Amino acid sequence: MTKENFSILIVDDDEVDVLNIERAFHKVKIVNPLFRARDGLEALAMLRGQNGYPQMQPPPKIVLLDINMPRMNGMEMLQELRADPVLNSLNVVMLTTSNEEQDRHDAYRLNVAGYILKPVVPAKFIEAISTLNQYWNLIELP
Amino acid sequence: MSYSRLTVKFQSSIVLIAIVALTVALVAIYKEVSRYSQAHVTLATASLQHSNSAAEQALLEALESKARSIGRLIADASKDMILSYNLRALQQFQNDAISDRDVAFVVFLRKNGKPFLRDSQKELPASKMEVKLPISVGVDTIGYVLVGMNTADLEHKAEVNRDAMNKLIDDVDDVARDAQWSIVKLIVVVTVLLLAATLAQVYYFFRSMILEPVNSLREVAREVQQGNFHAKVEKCPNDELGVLAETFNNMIEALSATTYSKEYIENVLRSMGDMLFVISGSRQITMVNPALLRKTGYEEYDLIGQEFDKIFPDKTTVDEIVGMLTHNNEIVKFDTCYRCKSGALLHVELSGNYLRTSGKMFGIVFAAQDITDRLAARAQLEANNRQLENSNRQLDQFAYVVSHDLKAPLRAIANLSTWLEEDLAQQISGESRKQMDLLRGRVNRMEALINGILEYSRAGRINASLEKVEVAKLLREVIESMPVPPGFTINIGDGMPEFITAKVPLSQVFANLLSNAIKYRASDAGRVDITVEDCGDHFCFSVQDDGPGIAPEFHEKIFVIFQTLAPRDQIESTGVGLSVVKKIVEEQGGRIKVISATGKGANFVFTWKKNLNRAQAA
Repeated sequence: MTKENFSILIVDDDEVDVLNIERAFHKVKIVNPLFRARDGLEALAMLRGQNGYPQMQPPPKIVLLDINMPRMNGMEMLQELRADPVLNSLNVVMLTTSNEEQDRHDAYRLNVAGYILKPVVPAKFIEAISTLNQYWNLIELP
Repeated sequence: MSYSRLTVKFQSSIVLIAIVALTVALVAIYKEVSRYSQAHVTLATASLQHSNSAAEQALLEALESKARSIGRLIADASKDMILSYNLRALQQFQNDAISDRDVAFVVFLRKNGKPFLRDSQKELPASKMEVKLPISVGVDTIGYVLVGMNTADLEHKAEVNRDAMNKLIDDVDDVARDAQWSIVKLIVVVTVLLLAATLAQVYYFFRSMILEPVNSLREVAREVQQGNFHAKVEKCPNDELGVLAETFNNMIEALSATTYSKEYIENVLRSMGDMLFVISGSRQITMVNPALLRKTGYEEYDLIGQEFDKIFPDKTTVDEIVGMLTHNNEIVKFDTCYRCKSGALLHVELSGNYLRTSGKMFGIVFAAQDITDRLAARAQLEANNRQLENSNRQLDQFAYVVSHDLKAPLRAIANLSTWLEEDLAQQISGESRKQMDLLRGRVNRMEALINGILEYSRAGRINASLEKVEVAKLLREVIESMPVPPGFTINIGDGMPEFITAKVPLSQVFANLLSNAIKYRASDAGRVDITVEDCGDHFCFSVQDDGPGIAPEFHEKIFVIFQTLAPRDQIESTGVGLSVVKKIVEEQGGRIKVISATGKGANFVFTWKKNLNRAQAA
């Protein structure tokens, strides 16, 4: 991620989880600009520049998406994204506590780039983010 | 042996004939006896007569002998007189001779037969016996003496004898006549007695064979008329009357059966809760039962004689019913409606059958049950099922919420405590650091508990698709995924089956049991033996460890969720594992038990069906 300074959108309603991600990014030295939405509706508004939100320009290359959120959950937002002709190719990585088979199945059917379970112990999360960083550095994003 | 009325008549005739025959016979006997006695009398008479004439003959002979003696004497004595021709002496001699009573006369005859004395020629009395003897001198006959014997006495005697005999004959005759009379009387008495006996017998026969059965029949007929169907003609002689009696009894029985069954059926129909009506072949209602009237509100006169369409709500229903009867010959539990008098519809379950007698259809009986309650119950059941499904969904939702919403704050606590510890690394003491560790330990335990709840609630809903399972291979995979300490042995026994079953649940059962065996091992050099036994329609798997064992009083408790036997600070455990195992085993149609005692290791034995049907697996 460091090679290209693209922005990352985190969609999560939990302050601590967001902090956790930020801390982990900081630890593994990811410096990409981070945007944050608290639910699906806010995220969509930011991506589309609606409801008084400035449109993210350029759009984020990666969306870290929680599932369980108020108003519009991650799965609903993912469906919206895939139905949107402009936003349908966004890279979405699920970052969630849900270990439900159904959720995983639904997510991959909607073409997510990955499905990561939020670990309880912080150390494991840092490990995960580090691996993710290496992966992103390895692959070429559109 | 069958006596018939005809036989009785025949018998009576025979008796009469017998009487006549007997009478004839008796008369004949009488005749014979008469003849015999007559003959006897004749014989006796003859005999008497015979003896009488014999006696007479003897007398005659004696008289003749006497005559000869007298003759010879006279001849001898008279020789000289004749030679001397002394007629006087001769006369004298002749007169002396007749002084004997028996001598009637004595006459001296010359050689030429002429009497010597004249007078003697004239007055010779008649005599029945005369003896003529010669008077001889030397060889010369000089004359004859003729002695006539007096036979009057003899004749008198014979007369007396004849009289006595005649009297005797008369006596015999009398006796014979008496005997005949007695026989006649006997015959009359016997005949009268026989006649009386015959009459008595005929009366008896008539009475016992005809009058009594007829009376009995009349009595029974009267009783039956009064409604006593238990009456029965008791005496059943085996003849026409007997046959009649039996027919009569059969008739009573049939009548009683008909009457009883009619009453019985009427009672049943009246008391039965099912609605019932019967239609004729021309579709008119001929019979309804009270239940139908009660439920539909009709009166009997509303329905009887009406087309049966009236009771159904519409023509479509009627057509449907007629169609079913035509094609299936019956209606079996058909859910439909009756139209009540008020117009309201009554939900019923209808059955219909043809009524036949001797194969000929004479009507159709419709029986129906009010299924309003049943429909309500069904609706209630469906509602309950929906509610249950809803509850299950809510439970799923709850588990989901638990897994996410409860875990999020926990994660936050863990994260924040870590960051605090990191950021305040310089300031906090070792004591605080230890407390931080304890805090995160409790967070982890809480997360484990939440996961346990999720695992338990999911246990029944895990993907239970059926596939071919090679148990030995499945066990190796399970063992590979476990943190087996070095030196710890897990031995897979021989004969592990290969069969089609739900792989994931079986795998989870083994995983939980093995992880327990490892977790509660007595030493790192522990050993677990997994064995199997074919138990007919299921397999019996056994997971035997050599751990500390479980005291019998806890054998039930260990399978209950969140029950642990050791403080969680000593052995971190949620107490979910075995409850999940039990839940899975039972949902797959098996059973699980533990055989163990303190210090003796634990043997978990569970059964697993060989052929799990899909309904159970689902």
